[in-house]
Amino acid sequence: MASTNPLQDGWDWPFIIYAGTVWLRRSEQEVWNMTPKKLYALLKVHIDLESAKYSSNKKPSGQAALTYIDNIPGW
Amino acid sequence: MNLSEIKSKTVPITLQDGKERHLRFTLNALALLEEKYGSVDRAFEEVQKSQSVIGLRYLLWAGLSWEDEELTEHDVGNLIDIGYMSEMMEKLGIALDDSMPVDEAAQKLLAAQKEAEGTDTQAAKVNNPN
Repeated sequence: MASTNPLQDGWDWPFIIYAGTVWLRRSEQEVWNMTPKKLYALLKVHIDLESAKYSSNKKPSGQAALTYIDNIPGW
Repeated sequence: MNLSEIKSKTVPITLQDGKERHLRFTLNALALLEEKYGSVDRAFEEVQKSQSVIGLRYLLWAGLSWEDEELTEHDVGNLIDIGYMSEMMEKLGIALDDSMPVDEAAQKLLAAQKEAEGTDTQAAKVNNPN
């Protein structure tokens, strides 16, 4: 995935809202009021924990593997 | 991970009414800038280049609205002292930097640059001891 700089190229807003509301289970308003620094830090922890879960159990087939946060467009 | 990687500092700023307010760039503020200027970098570049008071007013309003949702661009415009434009731009830049994720790659790059500069300075001293 191509690496982009969101300050220059724009943010991937649907992804940000999806990650904040679905993965982190925050309200949309809470997500909008976070700084990118906080959202990034929380997502990093979430992805690390989920990755650890998948590596200790066998990954269910057909389920997308979680990856490093830096590989997500917009970060 | 340490606390500075998750907690953004707010940058205090005092405008003409003497009240201390705090700058912070939330995703909401960044979305406003992106919507108006195309990107956050472009917003800062354009305001800096044109020295536009209207642009400065917008940047300040975006950075302050997290604290006071009732604050309007018009209110902010009434509180700006143009004589302090560069100081205000500097504070806006600090607030933006502090709202962004700590980028390990960027940190490493900066460290490498500093190291290279140190080497250059030493080399320059060797080549020109005076």
